[in-house]
Amino acid sequence: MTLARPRVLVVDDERYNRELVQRTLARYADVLVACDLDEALAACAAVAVDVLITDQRLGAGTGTELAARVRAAAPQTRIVLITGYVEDAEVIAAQAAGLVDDVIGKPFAPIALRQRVLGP
Amino acid sequence: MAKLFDQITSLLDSTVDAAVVLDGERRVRHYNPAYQALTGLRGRALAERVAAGARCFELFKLDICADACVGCKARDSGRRIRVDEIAAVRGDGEDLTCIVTAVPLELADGEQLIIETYRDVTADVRIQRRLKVALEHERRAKEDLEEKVRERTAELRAAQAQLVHQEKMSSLGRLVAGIAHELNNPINFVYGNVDFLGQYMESLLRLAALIDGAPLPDATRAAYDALKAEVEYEFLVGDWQKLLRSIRAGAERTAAIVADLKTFARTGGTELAEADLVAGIDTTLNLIAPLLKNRVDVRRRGGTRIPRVVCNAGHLNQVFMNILTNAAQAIVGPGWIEVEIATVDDGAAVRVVVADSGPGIGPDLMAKIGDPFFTTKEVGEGTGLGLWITANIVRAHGGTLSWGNRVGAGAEFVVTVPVAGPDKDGEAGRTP
Repeated sequence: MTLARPRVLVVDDERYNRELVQRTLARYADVLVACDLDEALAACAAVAVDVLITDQRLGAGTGTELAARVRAAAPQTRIVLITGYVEDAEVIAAQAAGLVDDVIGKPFAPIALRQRVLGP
Repeated sequence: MAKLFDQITSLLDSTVDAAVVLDGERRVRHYNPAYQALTGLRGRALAERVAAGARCFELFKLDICADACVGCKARDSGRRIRVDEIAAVRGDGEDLTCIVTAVPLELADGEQLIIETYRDVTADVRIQRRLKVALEHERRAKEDLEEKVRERTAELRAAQAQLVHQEKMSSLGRLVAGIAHELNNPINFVYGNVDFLGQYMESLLRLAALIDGAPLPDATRAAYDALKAEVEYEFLVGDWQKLLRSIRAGAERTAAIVADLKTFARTGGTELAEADLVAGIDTTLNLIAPLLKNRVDVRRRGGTRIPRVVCNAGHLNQVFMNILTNAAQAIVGPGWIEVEIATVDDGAAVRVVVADSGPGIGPDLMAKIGDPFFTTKEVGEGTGLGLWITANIVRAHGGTLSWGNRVGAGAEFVVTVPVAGPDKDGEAGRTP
């Protein structure tokens, strides 16, 4: 990835995980955070997001649902899904449909997440 | 004299039963109309034979005439004799059953006579026999019905138990999957943040190292050293990495348990899919590790280049869980469990053999342990359904389950399942 300082939106309803991802990327990217689907869509509408990192379970919605809407609105945004269930049928379907670019299983090592999101 | 004889013959002529008066040599002295009917000799024929000195058995033959003549016995013993159900053949060839009586009689002139009567009970006996057959038939039908009711009741009971067990397992699966998912997030932020804690510590230690080497005013140095002593700085420097390692190990181990629980709980509804049996067995071994710890040595043989098997992974995991748990519980004190995984049938099936060092299966239990509700455990400790459900699951996968004892060791269970899964009309989806 050749982005100089990409803008990353982290979406997770679990505060400590949100903070962990933010902490992992803060030195290399401008990190925005959202805790649900609506906040995430509002953020995407307000600014251009280079990378969207979303958890699959978002309380009232799902990461794949968010991915579909962001992909439709902003096709250039790279979408990374974080999930405890990489074998979840919905996740696999979203990958197959090209709605998400990468899927990272929980728990993840921060350095691995950074490399997967921003490149080595 | 003649008067008595006449009275007797007159009496006999009026009875319904066939009757004859014989002399001591069994020649017929008199017969009644019923007797004539029995002999089948019509008109004068009988009278002529009698006049010619015919003996009784030449006119009407019972099947005991030759060996055990009733009249002779009465004559010789001087007593009345009655014999029931004697087979005879009527003059017209019809088979009869008769009650025969013989009464010895001595006339005043000393002549020995025998009075024999024959009652035809053929119809009665036939009815009795038919009745007996009908009663026996009814008794058997009743027994069959009772047996059928017992069987059906047992089947229903087993089916109900299977449903309850199935519902229990499925609830347990949902519960385990839910817990596993809820644990995922906290494990994730513990595990992920350990790295940052390490980085922060390194940064702080670099800062401290810089101060160590920097010129400080004496008072500041003294305060700095005092603080280092107070916080046990040297110990901290030697210990913090160990501390982080243990946190990371704890998080990793928890993550592994959660992953195993997820694998185990992955019932995936009832669909069949390709699954890695070796991974399922390893997961199960991890889950029952507390049962084995420091006591049972697990030897895993084979398991390389095993094809993925079309199956309901959750159900097959239950199979291995059951067999391995039984093996672990069979071993008292230290021992071993051997698990051998191999392909058989030219690669068309996978066979898993689980052997243990326990006491083995008693010969009297060998045939029973697969029955529903059969358990050797105390009341409340086992439902007796484990092996039965295990066998049902394996059967639903088109496979086989067998058990026996290994010479010089304990029990051995063999599960074989086809790689291609059950036939199209298989019932894996409906097993517990």
